[in-house]
Amino acid sequence: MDNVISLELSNQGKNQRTYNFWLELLGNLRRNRSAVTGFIIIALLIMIAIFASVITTHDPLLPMFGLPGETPPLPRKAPCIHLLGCNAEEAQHLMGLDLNARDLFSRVIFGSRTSLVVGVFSVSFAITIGTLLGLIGGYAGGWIDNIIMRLMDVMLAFPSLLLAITIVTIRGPGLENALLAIAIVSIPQYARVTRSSVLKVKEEEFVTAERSLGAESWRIVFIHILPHALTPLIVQATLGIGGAVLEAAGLAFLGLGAQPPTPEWGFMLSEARAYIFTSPHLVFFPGIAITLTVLGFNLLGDGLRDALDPRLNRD
Amino acid sequence: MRSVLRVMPLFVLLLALSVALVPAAAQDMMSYSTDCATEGYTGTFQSVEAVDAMTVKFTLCSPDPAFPAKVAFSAFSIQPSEYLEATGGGGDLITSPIGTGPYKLERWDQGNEMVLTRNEDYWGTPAIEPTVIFRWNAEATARLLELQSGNIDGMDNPAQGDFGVIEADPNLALYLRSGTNVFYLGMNNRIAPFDSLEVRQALAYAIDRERIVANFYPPGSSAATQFMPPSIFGFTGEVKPLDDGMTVDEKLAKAAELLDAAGYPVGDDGTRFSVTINYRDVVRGYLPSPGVVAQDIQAQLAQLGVVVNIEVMESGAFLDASDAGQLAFYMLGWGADYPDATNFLDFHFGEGSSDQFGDKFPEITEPLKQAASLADTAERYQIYIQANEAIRDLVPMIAIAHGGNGAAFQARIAGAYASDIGAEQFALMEDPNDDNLVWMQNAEPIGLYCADETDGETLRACEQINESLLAYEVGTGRPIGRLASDWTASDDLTEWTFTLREGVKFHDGSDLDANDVVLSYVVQWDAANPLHVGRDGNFTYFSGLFGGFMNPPASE
Repeated sequence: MDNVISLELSNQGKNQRTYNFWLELLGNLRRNRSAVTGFIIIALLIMIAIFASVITTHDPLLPMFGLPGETPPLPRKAPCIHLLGCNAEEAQHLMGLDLNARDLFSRVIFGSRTSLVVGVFSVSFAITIGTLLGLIGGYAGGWIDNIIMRLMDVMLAFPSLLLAITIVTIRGPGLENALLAIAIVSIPQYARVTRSSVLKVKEEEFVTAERSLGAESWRIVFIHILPHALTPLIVQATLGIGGAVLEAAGLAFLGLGAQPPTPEWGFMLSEARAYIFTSPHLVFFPGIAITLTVLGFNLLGDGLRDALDPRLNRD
Repeated sequence: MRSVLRVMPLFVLLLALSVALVPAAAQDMMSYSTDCATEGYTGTFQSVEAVDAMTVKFTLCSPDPAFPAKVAFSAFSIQPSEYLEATGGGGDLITSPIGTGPYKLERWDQGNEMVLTRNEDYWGTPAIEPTVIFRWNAEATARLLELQSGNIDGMDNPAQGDFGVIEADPNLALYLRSGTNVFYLGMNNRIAPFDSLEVRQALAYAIDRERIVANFYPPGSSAATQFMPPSIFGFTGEVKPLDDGMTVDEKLAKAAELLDAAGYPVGDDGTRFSVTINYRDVVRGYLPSPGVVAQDIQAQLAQLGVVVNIEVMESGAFLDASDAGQLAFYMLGWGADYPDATNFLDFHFGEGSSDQFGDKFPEITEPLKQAASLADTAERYQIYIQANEAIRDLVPMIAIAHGGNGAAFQARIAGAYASDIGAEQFALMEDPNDDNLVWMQNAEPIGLYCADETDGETLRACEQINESLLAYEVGTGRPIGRLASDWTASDDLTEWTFTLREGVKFHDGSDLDANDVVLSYVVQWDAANPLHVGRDGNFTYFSGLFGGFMNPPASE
């Protein structure tokens, strides 16, 4: 409700040629249907991840052997939903059981935590380092810029998944290392985006003015230049989270990401791929989860790009 | 004078011929021997000698009733002595072997496929199909898809859930192997916490073997009560497992009690200790779904407060590390090479066995050594009861399952079968549709010098190319003559004399003689021999089956 009111306010304000950046952005986003869809998916996903232990019906790590209502054979048992006519005496499993007779629904739900943690943390890490490098390179110029950007070029020259695999192989498989690897391989994207904004802004008159007033470099860079790089960085980061989720799933698929028994969508796919024809539910649900998550971030990212583009949507 | 001159050229020719031939005929017959009492020598070989060009005599330090069964094994196949010397005991020997078998290696496109062509000069019945192609894929489902689509003619180890699919398909035929194997959890008693007997016993109580077999093994499998599979001599039904007759809850309570006693109480975080379990991500008859079983073991031990981290390793690196005693806790198994207790017990727990379980126990090695030297079956059986009891009580490993498995072929393949010991002879099979037989197994062979290999997928490829003195009869597994046409033993079973088959040629055209046999054995036996090289130099089978090496390297 607050949003609507403040939007109206901002529309009035616009007549007076002043507007709030964030409200403008929200307004543009609201008009973009795919962005709204993406936003809803991600909001839902975040809720699911936060309230995973409330939503789930079973312990995601517990095999169902010897529990009441479980009639063998248990591994790979098809979904049993009472509402859809499954025998009421059978224990209910919304997505069936996995290869180790664990409740697949609970595992998929908890898997959202793993994926979001990897997505958000790896991108935060990458964006911090990448932005810093881009700011330094862009503002300092000369040989410093040369060294930093050539290093970024070298990293970009490797296929990112391959580089991530190399990093994980050196540091040993595991969620933290996968997270670190994904973060490292995405640093160059952020460094380049930041640097190009810096280059554009640093010759502007207000920067020259600030400098002539005797402001220190760090102040110019962080207070005056950085805000101008934020827009493309936000878009890049939103799209980047989707990419990071996918890369984490890819690493886990290869056995290099989260280690069992941690529920991880990519690893669930990899385990079950041999049973795609005999027990499709094992592949279907984690697969859908990955698709939805990546789709959500991509839709939101695209929407943000459109909303933030000054050549579009401005009236 | 003229007549003498006329005969002269002929005379010279004869002289030249004899000069050329005599050294060949009088070539030195090789002979190697050692003193059984040499300090540090644990082996059973006393001497190997070429009596004449076609006779080889083995003298053993102690009687060995299973000697023919061991000699028939593919790790002891005969290599041409000239090639052994030319390759320095490794290198090309591993990638381009020369043997006497019904097939020779045409090319090995590493990572892709291995093509064998028929040996046209084979001494016996030549192979039916001109070409055999080995391919591999770790995924049982992928192998089955290839079989169903007709890209391959035969595949190994269908997945647990696919047995029914194959039986229902009129184009395919399923051949079952009985579970002459064992899947076990190895523990190294030099590495904490497995240096504690209580810990090892606790885990033996804690693991619910029935649950693993019932849920993760195909039909025909059984939960192990001891290391020996029931169908092989050396299985002693009298020896019951530690947890015999206990319920799951009783077993867990007993395990918890033992862990408390061992000094591993439940800590503040609810756990006792954490260990890493290693396994190789390959499907074998004894372990059809390794990742899933690893996670079940993880879940089972979690109930006890034991945290298990799972670490997958590459197959070759895994085997080397476990042999070298570097792995604390690991999942491995063993399939029978020949049907005798020595193949299982001596190889794993005997004096000459590798360091895979850490320090050896005299309570186990002594009876094994004794049993291996007896000729009388009933007497041997009594001693194996002792050995199996000692293994149960000292718990160097936990035997979990005997996995039934099988192979599937196109129904049209004539003579198709699945060997209980995984040694299918493709020379006996016929594909009426085309000129080749394409076989897809779980994994690529590691190397083709099988004296220094232990992996079943690797041995199967070697067996098509190289031959041993004896072979196992298809169906019964009894030793029968192969490169040796005949063999005799002295009454005390310490002297074994093999008469080589006439007219056997290696793939390079050279003739088989006694020196080839002697050198093939000596490079394995003598650790100081310059040709004792191989792929990693472990020669695990030789030391496992024959007690140890001559001139063993000083132990670190």
